[in-house]
This record gives sequence, structure tokens and C-alpha cells, in this order.
Amino acid sequence: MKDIHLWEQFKNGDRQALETIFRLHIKVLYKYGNKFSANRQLVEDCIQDLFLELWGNKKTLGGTDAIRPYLFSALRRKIIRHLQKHHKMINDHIEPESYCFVLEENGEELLINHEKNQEKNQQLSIAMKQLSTREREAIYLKYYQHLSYEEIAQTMEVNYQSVRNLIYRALKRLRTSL
Amino acid sequence: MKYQEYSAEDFAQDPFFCQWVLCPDQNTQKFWEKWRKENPDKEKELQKGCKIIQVIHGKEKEIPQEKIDHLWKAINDKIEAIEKPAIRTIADKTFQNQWYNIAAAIVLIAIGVFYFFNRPEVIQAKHGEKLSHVLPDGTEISLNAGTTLTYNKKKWGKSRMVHFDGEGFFRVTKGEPFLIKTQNGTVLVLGTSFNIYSRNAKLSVECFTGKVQVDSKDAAFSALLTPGKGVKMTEKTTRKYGFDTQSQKGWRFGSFFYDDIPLTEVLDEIERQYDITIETQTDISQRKYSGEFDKNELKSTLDMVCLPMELNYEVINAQKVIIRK
Repeated sequence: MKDIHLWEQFKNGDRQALETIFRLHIKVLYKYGNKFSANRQLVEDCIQDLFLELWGNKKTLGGTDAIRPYLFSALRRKIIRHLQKHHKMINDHIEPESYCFVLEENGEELLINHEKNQEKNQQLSIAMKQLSTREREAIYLKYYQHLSYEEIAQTMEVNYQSVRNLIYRALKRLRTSL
Repeated sequence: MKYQEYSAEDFAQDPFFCQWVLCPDQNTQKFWEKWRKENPDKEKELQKGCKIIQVIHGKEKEIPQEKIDHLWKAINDKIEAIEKPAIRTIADKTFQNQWYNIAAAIVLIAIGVFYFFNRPEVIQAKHGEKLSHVLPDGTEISLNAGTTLTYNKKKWGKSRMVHFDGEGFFRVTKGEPFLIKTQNGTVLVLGTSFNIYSRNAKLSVECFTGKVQVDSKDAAFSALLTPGKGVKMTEKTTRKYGFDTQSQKGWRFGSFFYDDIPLTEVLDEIERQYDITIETQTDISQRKYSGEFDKNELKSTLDMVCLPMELNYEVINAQKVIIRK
């Protein structure tokens, strides 16, 4: 079913539709969320909040024909807000866009077939350190989640050209570090 | 052929190229093998492109199905709990509706009584006037013309919170977090001094001492300001900037400074400062003003603004000015 119809059904109070939306996107949402924080409980709480809010506000939500980036950006905002609240008042300088986005993992998160991939993971780890948080996030959304540039722009709440620039800059930096 | 111009970065972004690197099929294999032979000079870029993709492409571990089911159950249970009271038979409903009405009336009266005894303090600086106000905790606030400050004296001991609309300078006494709610967002501080401007859909805050946290209404943006830093939020944009905290400029000193600001906003300020109404008989909605004026005499202020914008004005009486082309 097309996103736009599914979303309409959900907005009309069809809980089955909400469940379909949940099951269609939960895997990628969960993985994406975990890049911001290794704290699984926090990510799960945010996801729960997100879907409860969706249900609570279903009457006033606008239509969308692209549910995934919609959910991505909502979850992203939620987690960043959550993390910032923890740091608020304690930390000295929190920029409006300050957050972590960790891609290189200890081998638990990413599927690794040992040996050959161990080397690859090490390379990835070194390469990713060269990138800014936002560049890492954009790369992740493109090469792991396979979102289009428009969808990445929607998720990260920046314009299309910024996304193109982010990715181009990231690739350029990777190229020199490889 | 476009690929001749490609750098490694371009290759890495090309879907057809990615497909060949990650899961080649006959079609991509044939094309790219041929292309490589024909373009040996591009071999280096192509190799680099391959390498980038291979390194950054990744697969993640899937989350177990039990976890998904568990999460959904938790969400569904909560929805269930929220919606339960709504499921009732129709007969039940009409009967209960009467009780609901009575209960609602009682609640309303109770709220009214409660509100009467807890009515908030409203401090208002009318057009043409500036006001100073001291809150129960010793915080000093200067209010610019056309500004309203509301707070609750009774609850002050519990939380420092004010509602605010307009422009003001706060010198906040150190202590518990101090919260300023505006229609465009919230400002959270400990002990600091700062200027706040919240009118129409614009919120701007400049921090003079201490630290100030500004959150937009929908919580999409948040900024932590240190001395000499300011932030401007409109519905669409957020911009952080620096300014000189020593400068004796600004509305508190009777001088108004603008840098590429919508002319309508400037005229609104003149209206508030001189308590007049300005009628514009030409379209100025798209025009922007850069410059400054001091509040001393209405005509010199109008000169400062209208002359550079090539507008004419006419002072009809003490309350009214007309601006024309």
C-alpha cells in the first residue's frame, strides 16, 4: 500500500494501520536511533513516545507521502532533545546542533565476517573519525539506509543542497584518508 | 559520456556504479569492464570510488523479532489504557452526559474561584512609555514600550516563571532556574542579564552576562548563549551572532539600531515609542531598513528612517502619521 493511503487510514483512527507503520519502520528507526546513543532504553523510550504521540495527535497531523523520513526526523529530534536535557545546565557550551552520531562500532552492531572485515572495520573507524557528526549522519542515511537526497534533507531538516554538500564533503575527506 | 568527468566522489554517489561495486550483475559487469578498458586514465579515480563505497557501505545487525513485538505491545497497551474510557454504550453516555455537565460546571466555578485568588500580576508598558519592575526575588526588568509581563506572585516561591510579550532587559538574581515563556519559544536562565524581544513571530535574545538557554516553540531549535552571543529565531530560520556587550546602544539608552530588518518592524517600533499610528499608503512589505534612530523628536526619527528609504511622511496630528511614496 502506498504511504499516503496508509497514513490516511491511520489518521482516521485505524490502529491496525498504526501497527503496520510501526512494523514497517521499527527496524530502521531502532538502528538509526542507536547511532545517537548506545543507551537502548533511551532509544526505546523515545520510540514509544513517538508512536504514542502520533496516535494522540493523529487528528491534527498533516498528510505525508513519505512516512520514513517523517518518522526519522521526529525520532531524531526527540533523541537529541532528550540527550541535551541531560547535559543542560551541566555542560558549558551546548550548540543547538550538538549531538553524537557513532557509526564505527565495536563489531557488535555491524555485521562482520571476521578477518577480512576486521580490517575493513578498522578502516571504517579511522575514516569516520575524519568526518563531522553531521557528515557521518548523512553518510549513514545514504549508504546504510539508502535514503534519497530529498529524504535525507527532510530527516536532518536541512535543504537539499546542504545534503549534497555534506555528502560530497564527506566523500572527499574519506577519499584522502583511504 | 558523463562518466569521463567523474571524480571518485562522483562515482561513489552514482547508483549504477554502487550497484556494480556491491552486487554486480551481468549488465553492470559488462558496462563497467568495458568502460574501464576504454578509459584507462580514469582507473585511479574509479578505484578510489570503489574503495570509498566498500568501506562506508555497511550492514547492521537486525534487532530480534521478540524485541519488536515487545515494543509494539508496550505501545498498544498504553493506547488501550488511554482509549478505554471512550468505549461505552450510547445509553450510558447520555445518562452520564448530564453528570458530566454538572461536574464540568463545578470544575469551572472552582477554577474561577481559584483563579480569582491566584490571579496573576500583569505589568504592562504602554505605547510611549518605558517601565522598570522588580520581581519578588529581586530580579530587575526594564520593559520597552508595548510590552506585557505576567507572573504569579503566589507561586513565585515554587518556580520562577513569567509570561512575556514584547521587549525587555532582564537582570536575573542568581538562584533556581528562571523561565520566560513567550509565544515564540522559551528562555531558560540561572543568574544572568540579557535582552529579549518577542513580537509577532520573531524571538531574539542577546546574552550580556551568565548563560541563557533559548528553545523555539516547537522545540525544533535550541541555543545556549554565552555573553556577547545572540540568537534570532523566526518561523523559518535561526541565526546565532555576536555583539558588543559594552555598547551603549539599544532601546534602554533610547537608541535603535537596525541591520537589514523589515521596514514594517521598524515602523512598529516607532509606533510604540511615540504612541502614534502610522498609516502606509504604499507597499513596503518587502522593503528592509539598515540604519539607526534616537528617540528624541518624532520628526527627526521619521527623517532618519524615511529619507534613506525614499519615502515621504506627513504628521497629521499628535497621534497619526501617513507615509507615502
